[in-house]
Amino acid sequence: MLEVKGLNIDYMTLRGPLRAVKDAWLSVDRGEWLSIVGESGSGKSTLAMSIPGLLMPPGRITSGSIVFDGKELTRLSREELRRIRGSEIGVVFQDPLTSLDPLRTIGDQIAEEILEHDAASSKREALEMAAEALEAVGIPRNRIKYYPHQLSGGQRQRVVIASAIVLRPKLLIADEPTTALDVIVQAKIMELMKDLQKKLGMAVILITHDIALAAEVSDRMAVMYAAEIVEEGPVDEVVSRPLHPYTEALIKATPDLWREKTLYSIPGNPPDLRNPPRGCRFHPRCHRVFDRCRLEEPRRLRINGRTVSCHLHG
Amino acid sequence: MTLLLEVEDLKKYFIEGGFLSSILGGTRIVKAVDGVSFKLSRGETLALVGESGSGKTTTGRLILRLIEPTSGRILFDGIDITGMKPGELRKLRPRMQMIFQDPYASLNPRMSIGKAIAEPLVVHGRATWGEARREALEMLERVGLTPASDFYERKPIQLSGGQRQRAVIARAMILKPDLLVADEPVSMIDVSMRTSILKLLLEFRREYNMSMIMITHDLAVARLVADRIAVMYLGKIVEIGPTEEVLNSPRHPYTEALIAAAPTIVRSARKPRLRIKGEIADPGRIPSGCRFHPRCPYSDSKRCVEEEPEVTYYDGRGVACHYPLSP
Repeated sequence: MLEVKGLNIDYMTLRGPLRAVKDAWLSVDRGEWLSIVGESGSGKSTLAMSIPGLLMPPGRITSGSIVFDGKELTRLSREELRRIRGSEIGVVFQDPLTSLDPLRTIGDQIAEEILEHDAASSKREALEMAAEALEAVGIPRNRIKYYPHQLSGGQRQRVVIASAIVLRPKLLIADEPTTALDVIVQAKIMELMKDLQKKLGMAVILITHDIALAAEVSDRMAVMYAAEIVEEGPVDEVVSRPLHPYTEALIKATPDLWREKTLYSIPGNPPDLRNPPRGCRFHPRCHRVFDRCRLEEPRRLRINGRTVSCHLHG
Repeated sequence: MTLLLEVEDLKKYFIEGGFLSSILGGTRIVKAVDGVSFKLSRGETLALVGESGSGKTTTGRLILRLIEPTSGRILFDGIDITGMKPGELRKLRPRMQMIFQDPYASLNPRMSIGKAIAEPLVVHGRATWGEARREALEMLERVGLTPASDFYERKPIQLSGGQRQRAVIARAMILKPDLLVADEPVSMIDVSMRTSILKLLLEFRREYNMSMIMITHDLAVARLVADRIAVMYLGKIVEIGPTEEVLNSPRHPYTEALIAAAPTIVRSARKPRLRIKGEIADPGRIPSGCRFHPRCPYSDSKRCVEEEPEVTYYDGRGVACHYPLSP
């Protein structure tokens, strides 16, 4: 349903262009959940936001293609992309307050989204659809006249999700939707998204820094480091037998209640993208580094339905 | 082990609403911390764990007297610091330090990293600038900001988030405090570097036989550093005990919920099911009886709605629940 091929995204900065996403390849099937995992500055949000045309200037797609449901999204006009957003691709951001207008009721905001896409013939019909969407995310329909400030952070994020799914999109893109929320609320929101994925047969792209969270909910996982997808594959395999040393190290460094206690951390710092290391970008921090890694950029390899960019595999 | 800190029935109530609402009757009392008691030994680390609104950060600030308690007592090394005047408190300040979540906000953007680290020594009359500079250089080396002479001159903006938090730790540690209150010190740090910051804190703890209060929402982080865990809910400690015991066999339903909500990459993890209802209540409207009762998946007893459970201790573990979970 979605195919990203050889995507490059640059940010124009005063000190010259900075490649925020480098040669990204991804595909998502109908109803499939893909999580993109990475640390700050890895390019995960930039990549995900470029899909529905939400790249903020000075960001710019310099080459590559994004095919969604047969349409080449990189060639669509702003207006055409706006029509696809909401109806075919729903988007949820980290902070629900940036997506909600504090001065209007939540029902009106969802109804407006519906009317903008001509998905209802009257305001009344749109409000009825909004009420149903709110119920679907666990908010009683009598709260339709509430303002955002009358709701808790978790409930607000539910409203944003309701608004993103009300037109039954084929794809939901969620950028760190639970980072601003408490752990229990996070677990509940993830339960809800999983439930909606199944019920609506919707595909999901989740952007997260938390590899454990991604491991619990996804079908597939892509791991990004310094603007590159270093590894991609079915979540069980990536997590239990990581092919890239960064994935392996990231798992080991993530505190986890159900694994042995360790104070392992990845040495060094992520690179400056204006001046990335030669060869493999992870080599200065890699525990499996050898000569070739310092000189030659690894190619993207396919191994049994997985992909990895690392010299260890050929 | 000798005792360093004793906190007795600590309370902090805020009055919400201004002058106008006090006339119109719109004020309400927010019970941010509502009767917290615990003891901390020398060299021991206690984690205060809870969600936002649990009162964990307020408790940390109260202990260091950064804010004034409504009632209760704080004994630091046997001295009652609760009613202490600012002048006397100033003499104790070097012995108790705090680090915060946001390393960006904790450093003066105009001051060089080295000077920021050296400054407390001069301010507290421990050293001249010359001596302080030498000690700060050693400290930079110690926290891994090398070459130290290079980092000494840098401004905060030239450092990454992880490096800034190292500088903040260096500044707090240069006074060799007896107590460190660390408020979510790694929640803004990238995962790959998180544990290196925790490791650094543990090294200083051992070196100085320092006591530590680690405030965190993340049980997995608490597990890595804490000897004991205190779980807070709406201003109260609901469960307290040795870290592994609390995590392996939680006795309060809320602790169990926090464990159930913690993500894991382990597919075969025998996690409890997340059965908790709703969201944390507004601290201005604390439920009657057991404050957890509206969300409790176990109890529908009248006792939980009417009678507030106190923390009862058994075998070094405390739990505030009328019907604690069996091990």
